[in-house]
Amino acid sequence: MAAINRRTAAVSPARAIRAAWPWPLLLLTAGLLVADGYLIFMAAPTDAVLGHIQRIFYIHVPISILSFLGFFICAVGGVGYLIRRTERWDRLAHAAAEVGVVFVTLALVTGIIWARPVWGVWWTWEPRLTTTLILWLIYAAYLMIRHYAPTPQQARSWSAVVGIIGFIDVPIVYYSVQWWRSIHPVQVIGPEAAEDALEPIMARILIFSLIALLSLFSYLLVERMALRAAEDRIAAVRRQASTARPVV
Amino acid sequence: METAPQNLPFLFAAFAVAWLVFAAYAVYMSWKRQALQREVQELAENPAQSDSIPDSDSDTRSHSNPAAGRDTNAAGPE
Repeated sequence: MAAINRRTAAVSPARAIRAAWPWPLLLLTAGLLVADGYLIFMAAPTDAVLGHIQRIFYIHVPISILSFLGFFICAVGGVGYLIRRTERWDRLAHAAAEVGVVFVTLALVTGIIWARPVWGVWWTWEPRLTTTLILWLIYAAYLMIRHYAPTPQQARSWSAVVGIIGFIDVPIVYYSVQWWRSIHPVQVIGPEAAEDALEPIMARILIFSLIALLSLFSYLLVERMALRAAEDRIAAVRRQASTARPVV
Repeated sequence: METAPQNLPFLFAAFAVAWLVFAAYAVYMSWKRQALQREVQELAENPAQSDSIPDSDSDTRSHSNPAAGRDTNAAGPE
């Protein structure tokens, strides 16, 4: 009977893993990204000053914004975990931090590639770049804590605290171009952006890029949370199997 | 406008890096999903092997401290 129970419990997670794959969201994301590519390269006007390199802006800005979203979700998940102490909040925080690190890494890389032809250097220690690098380091540390903490309980609690405190750097990154003299372009989206910061067609394509990349962000977040849930289920099945085994 | 063609390699590099990283991350998760399915299948076919199968829950435990793996998810899944 115990073997039957174990078998039933083990098959169920396999179905859950397959069923959790968010393929409709993946199809939607693929369609949006293809359309986004068309808009960026075929419909968007070429910048009169910067030329074609300005088109990086259509992915660099949304990727940066979505990395902020990832760290915001991570902080919310951390607060939820510290209050409720349930796996669901921890999964949300962990998945959002990992996806956020992917996005902020790409924000840094695309920014570096843009800076070389426009500023003449790959990297400069100006406020926006420096604070973004600090943000990357904070959440890289978050992922390292999850991996290397002495116990899983400590990993969850410590990383939740880091995720919450680390989010303080996000508004600093956003306002850094205003608080300090900076060569980085000012905000073109958000509460501090000027209304005429962009031509209308550029603004519309930027919003479309943001929606397309938000869809990608959502897919990656849902997929990562589903994987984490599957890992937890397998661990539960293993525990159940080990406790059900008769002691000789 | 003369500088625009010179910047095309940078433009290509930025988009290539972005899409390659996104694709690599998505493929990594797909590969991990398949590995989890195989592991569950093995558990279903031979529950006695459950202790010998390498632990997949590496994200929430330490690799450097064997004690960390003993009580993974002690709070339990919901």
